[in-house]
Parts: sequence; C-alpha cells; structure tokens
Amino acid sequence: MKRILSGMVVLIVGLAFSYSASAQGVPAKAFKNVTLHKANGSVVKGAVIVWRDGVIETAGKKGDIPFDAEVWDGGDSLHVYPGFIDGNSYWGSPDQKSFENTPKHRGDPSYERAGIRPDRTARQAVNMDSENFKKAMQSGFTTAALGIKGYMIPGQLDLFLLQPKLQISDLYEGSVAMQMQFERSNRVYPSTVMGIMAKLEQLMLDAKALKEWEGYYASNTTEIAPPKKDPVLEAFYPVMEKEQRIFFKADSKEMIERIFALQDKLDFDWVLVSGMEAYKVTDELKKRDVPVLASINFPEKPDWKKEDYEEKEDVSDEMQEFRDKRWEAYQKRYKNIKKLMEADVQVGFASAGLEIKNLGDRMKDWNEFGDISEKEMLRVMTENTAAILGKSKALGGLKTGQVASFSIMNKPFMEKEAEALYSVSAGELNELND
Amino acid sequence: MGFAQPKGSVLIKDGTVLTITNGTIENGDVLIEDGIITQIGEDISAPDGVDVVDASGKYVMPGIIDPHSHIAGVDINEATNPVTAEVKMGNSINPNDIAIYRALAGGVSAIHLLHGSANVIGGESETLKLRYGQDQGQLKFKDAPRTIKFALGENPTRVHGQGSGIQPRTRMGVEQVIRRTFDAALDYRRNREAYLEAKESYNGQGAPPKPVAKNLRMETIADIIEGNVLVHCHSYRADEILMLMRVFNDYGVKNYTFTHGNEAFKVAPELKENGAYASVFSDWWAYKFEVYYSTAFNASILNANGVVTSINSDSDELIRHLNHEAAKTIRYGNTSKNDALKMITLNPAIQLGIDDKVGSLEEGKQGDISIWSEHPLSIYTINQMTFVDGIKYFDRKEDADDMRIDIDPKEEWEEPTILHTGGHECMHDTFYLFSETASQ
Repeated sequence: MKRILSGMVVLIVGLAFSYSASAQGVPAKAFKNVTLHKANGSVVKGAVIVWRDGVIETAGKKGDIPFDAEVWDGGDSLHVYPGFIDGNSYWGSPDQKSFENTPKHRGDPSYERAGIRPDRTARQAVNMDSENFKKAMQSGFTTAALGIKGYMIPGQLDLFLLQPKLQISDLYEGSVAMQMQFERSNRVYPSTVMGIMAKLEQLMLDAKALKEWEGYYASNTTEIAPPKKDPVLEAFYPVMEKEQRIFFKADSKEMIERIFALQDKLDFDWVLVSGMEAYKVTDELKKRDVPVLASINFPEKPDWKKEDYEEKEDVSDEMQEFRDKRWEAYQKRYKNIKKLMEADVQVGFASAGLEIKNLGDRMKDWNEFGDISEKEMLRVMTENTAAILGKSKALGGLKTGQVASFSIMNKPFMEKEAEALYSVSAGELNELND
Repeated sequence: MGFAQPKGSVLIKDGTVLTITNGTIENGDVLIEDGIITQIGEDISAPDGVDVVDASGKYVMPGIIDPHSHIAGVDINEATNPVTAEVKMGNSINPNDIAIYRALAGGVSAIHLLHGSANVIGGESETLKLRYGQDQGQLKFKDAPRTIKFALGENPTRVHGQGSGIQPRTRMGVEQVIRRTFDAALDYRRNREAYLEAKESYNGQGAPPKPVAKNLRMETIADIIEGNVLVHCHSYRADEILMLMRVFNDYGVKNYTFTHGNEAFKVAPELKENGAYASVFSDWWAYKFEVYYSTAFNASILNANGVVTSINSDSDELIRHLNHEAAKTIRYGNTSKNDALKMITLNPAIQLGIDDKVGSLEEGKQGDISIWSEHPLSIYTINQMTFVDGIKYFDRKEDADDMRIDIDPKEEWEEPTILHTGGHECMHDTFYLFSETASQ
C-alpha cells in the first residue's frame, strides 16, 4: 500500500471552486477517493475530505475540492476515521515515583511524599518525546487527555492534539480535570482506602478555610495576617466551585460506591475513569449523571478457556463452580461498556494504564466478547469521549468546522493488520508508516 | 446510597426459645414481621404470606454478636500515625468477604468491625449486620452509636515507638499521647466554635476573624470527650487498664469497653466501679509478652463482679464457634448457662449501644435469630439457620459448594480453607511498616 501511495500523484488542483485561497490565507489539503467512517456510524464511499488551517471544510461524497488544495488520492482503498480520543491516558507519563526513604513522621508526610499533587500538570511531567504518541497515532488516536502515573492525586490532566513528537504548542486545553484515585503512597499517611477518603475531605476543608482567609484578607489587609500560600489547597478551588471535575479512577463496584459517598459529602462533579465494574451501578451513575471513561484493559482469558489448553487435573464440582463464576465475571467485564450504553450512561474511552502494545489485542477482545459492534466502538472512542471532555463541537467527528483530526487507515480499523498510514492532527499531516 | 436495608417476615415454630432476658419457652414460637419480632409465645398463627420454619427439637436464640471482629474489612489499620481518629471503618467494608458467610454459619448475625490496634487512637469502627450478598451500605447497622478503637501497650509502642522512633515508645508515652490529643481537641473545639461565632457576627467592619478549618481528627476526639463516641480499647495488662480509667475520669469520658483485657480480672472491682465493660477471649493468651499472664477464669470472674462482659473472636476462625467459646465459661468458671449466652448476645449489644434493638428475643426487637440442632452451648450442636431482620442468610440444608459471591476474573482457583486459623487480626496491614527502618 505504501508503494502504491508513494506512486500516487499529489495533485494541486488549479481550478477555482467555492473557496478562495487568498481569502483563506492557508492552502487547503484534501484526500479524495476515500471511504469515510463517520462517528455516527455512517459510511461514505468514494468521498473527499478537505481541511484548511486545521479545520475541516468538507467531508462527504460530493465535497468540492478547492483550487488551491494539495490533494492525495486514496485510490478507493483508504479509510478515513475521526481521530480516536483517549479520555485519560498515561502515555508519555514518567513511571509512578517510588520512594525509598520513609519520613520519621509517617503520619504527616509532605504533599509530594503522600502523592498529593493537584498543583502539578501533565505538561510539566510528561515526556514529550515519548514514542508512545506516534504508536498511538498509528492505532488511530489523534487526541488524548494526558495524565500522570502517581498516587492519590497525581496531577491535572492536559488535553493534547497528538503529534509524533509532542510540543507544548500541541496543548489543546490545560487542566481539563483533576486526577484522583485510591492509590496509596508507600509507608506514609494515607496508607488505606479509608485514609484516602478522610484525607480528601480534610484537604477540601482546609482549602475552604484558606479561601475564606483569602477573602477576609482581600477585604481588610491591615487587621488580619496574610494567608499562607498553598498551591495544593488552591488547586482545589475550581473543584469546589464546580468549575473543574475530578477524573476519579476506580474499578470495583465497592470503590465506585465510595466515590458516590464522597460526592454526597463533598459535592463535586466527577467522571468515572476505567470503571471495569461500572455495569453493576448503572442506575446510580445515570441518576447522578456521572459519565464513564471506560477502560478496555480486560483481564487475560483464563488458560482453561484457551483453545490449546489441555486439562491436567480432575476438575472437582467445586472447581467447576468456581470456573463458571469466574468466566461469568470475565464476560461481564467485557460487556461493561455495552451495558453502560444500554443503560443510557454517557460512556467514552480511556486507556487508563493500558499499554499501547496491548491496545490492538484488547480492542479485538472487546469486539469479540463485548457484545459491541465496530460502529459502537467507533462512537465510544470518538464523539462520546469528546462529549465527556466537553469538546463535542470541536472534536470527535468529521463535520465541517471541527478540528481536522482524523486518521487515514489502510483497512477498516478492526480488520487484521489495520493501521493508520497517515494521521491528520490539528490539520497537520503526518506520514506514519515510515 | 444503598442504605435501604431488606427486611423479612417469618414464623419460627415449636422450638426451645432461649430469650436471654425472659427465660426459656419450650415449644415456643417467634413471629417476625417486616424485620421486627412482633410475638413470642406458644401456638402463634402465621399471618397470610408469612413463611413458617419448623424448629421442633431445635433451639432458637438471638443471633450471636461479635464485639471484636475484622472480617468484612478492606483495610484494617491506618497504621501511619499514633492517632487516626478521622478514618472510618465504615469506608472500609468488604461486603463480599466469604468470612461473613462462615460467621453466619456459626450463628453470628452482627459484628463490630473494628479498626486495628496499631495506633493509640485508631479509626472509628462500624457495627454491621451480616446481610451477606447486600452491598456495603446495606451491611451497616442502622442507628448504631459511633464507636472508636483505642489501643494500649505493645502494639502502638512497637509500630510507632520502635517502627518510627516517635512517641509512644513506652506505656507512659501511650498515656501522654491520649492526654495530649484530648487537650488538643478541647483547644480545637473552643477555637473552632469561637471562629464560627465570630464569622456569624462579622459584618465587614473591623478585624475579620481568622478561619479555623474544621479538623476531622479533632472533631472525633472532641466527640469522644463529649460522650458521643463509645470507646473500645485494646488492652491486656491491669496497670494500663487502670491508667486509661484514670485518664477517662480526668476528662469525663464514660461508657467504654476494654477489649481482650486478659488481666481485667485483676481489676474487676475497679471496672465495675467505673461502669467499664470488658470483652475478652475465653482462653487465648501467651501469644506475646504482654499477654503472658491470663486465666480461663477471666470472663467468669468479671461476670461474677458485675462487669458487663462479652466474649469476642478477633479471628476469622473463632467467630465460627463463639457459642463454644462462651460455653468454656461454664466449664472453667461455673458461669450460668444464661450468663454464658449473654456474653455472646446481650452483653456485646450493651457494649455497642444496640441492646435496645438486638441481643435478646423480645417483642419490638429486631429479628436476628439463630437456630441450633441442640442447646447452643453443647459441643455437639450445629447451627441450622441464621436470620437477620427476619431474612434467612444461612441455611445448612442449602449450603452450596461455593458460596463466594464476587469472583475476580483474574482470581485463580484455590482449595477453600479457613485461612489464618487462630490468627490475630488486630495488627493486619501493619507489618509492612517494619520492612524498613525510618531514615530520619
């Protein structure tokens, strides 16, 4: 395919169409003779897609190609998809920090030692040169909310329009959400789930008091001591004001229920990230209008369900009952996203720790065991995720006026050996198959 | 969410009913309607639609209450600080723990899920009903008073003194941690209330009040001093038991229970005088230095001195046969049968402040019941059924091969066993602290 494409003539179509190059300033670009796969599931063969200066101008059967456009001919063999969006990724994140030393006062560690860093942004921490970004683009992703691997509160998620080598200028929106999880740092407070819950509550109480103090000081600077600056507590202000959501990572039903309890007490808006057992609490998620950025980091199939498995021991009745239960649990995990969709819970996609190298296999499993169609998968990974991120207008589709972020694949994305040959991200064309 | 707790109706007929508070009724019936005992007597007719359980030849008693347990817990010890009164075991409930089902099989209907004993003042504990199969909110014992775990002696000094080189390193230090924390809480509450008053009256003129943040740890401690939280204190030695009673008297703390209390018999009159309760093992000691001295007569001596005494398990295994643990007080100390049964029913209910709801078979109380093949204090008896709020959660005839209700898809097969047999659960989650010496 690469050879064929290389041989294709890149045309500059010199006819005047509806758009004027001089008026637009930046020349248009276009693919023609491609199959468009739109986020809503519709498929358009023999189509064109035109974009200019980072914005889609046309995507459809009868799209006009402007005279100034640089045109690639897909030869009716290429497939254009809206770029997949990862709602909570750790691609490019440094590894979770490990602490060798233990402070003498384990019960009162520094914010850094306790893993409480809401004042830190992904753009400060992520390795922009990570090879993961290009690999993600080869898998069809063009956008990702990048987070940091860490403990209780690793930092702020930043939304990036991906490039093989990321730059700060690729940041689409900073601090789209605060990351939070029931992950404890080692040998310091809080070291338990109940400790993490108490600590979050105390942090928000402290932040409330600090804000009050700042308010008093702002109104009277001569009769009250100036408030002590605390960037960690100040980072909670947008959450307390509901100007920012918490992206709360949890999987088990019980952990999700604990977040419900925290929400009831602390009154914050949040998105459930990963949520492997979210299917068990669909009613409550729906009632609370909590979206889910679901993970497909499914467990491996048990050995005894693999085709080449040979039984080496007698299977007792108890063992068989256990296996039946385990297999049922396994299947339910795979059908999690479908169940959420059926329950009308807003559900998008998050890699949430899934390594790029395993992405293809997990997507295949999701399709095979998840009772979900390719069209539904596409919708989850594009417009649904964009909606959860609050970016429906600009991202997640192939509509006129949306950000030109899409992938050009050699085959429909779930076919064997499918990969993105080109990726257009924020209008910039990247040839990936080098 | 999840606090709508299921209730059932059932008529248990023709059993030997051990009421605990009103004697024994031969061929007696107990009617439970919508979770509440509405009639106890003879020849009671079942209302329409109410199931009847034939208990002829069997013994009917209140569900057993374990006042010191760590089953159904996710994490047990927030062992990183000598005082962690702000954490709550109510946030650490594992409703899927198979140990719940095993406890039901032993006739247990309610437990006190305690924080561990790593800290001088641990977290708030949670009283649970063993509604196996319900979610974590539904396991909570509705309207049970708040309780908290204290710990004296070797555990907190080992974890914090030896482990981190901070106070407490000694029993003297333990006392000072409590006194200092109580003093701090009193100061805190005074300052916090003063701030709230000043905030209320501040009209934008003059010096504004300086905020005092609500402090969860101090709030709980202040609530203890004000009598709103019952203390259950891990303790062994008589001297430290006396110490804590002196401290509590200084601060006006009342209504507390010494749990373990292996030397409590030495200070039984003092416990009685102070209105303190004791929750002990029947005959388990010598598993560490401070527990070297004890006696199997402990519970009987305490009981004979008028101390409200219960028998607890602190173990996934012992909880399965607390009836036998109670029976040992008869074998060793000649305690009466009814008093022995009280030690696993009404007395723990008193210690947990739930005796108006459970602990005996009385009209108006909740329908938590166990049914036994023979007298529950017999070594040959086998529990047949356990009811919570009139709903059957264990039936020996319906005991399936695998009663686990939540299988992790990654979980590998393991031959079912009772793990940690005889294990002491109070120090769960703490041993990692000793894997490394503090660096500073």
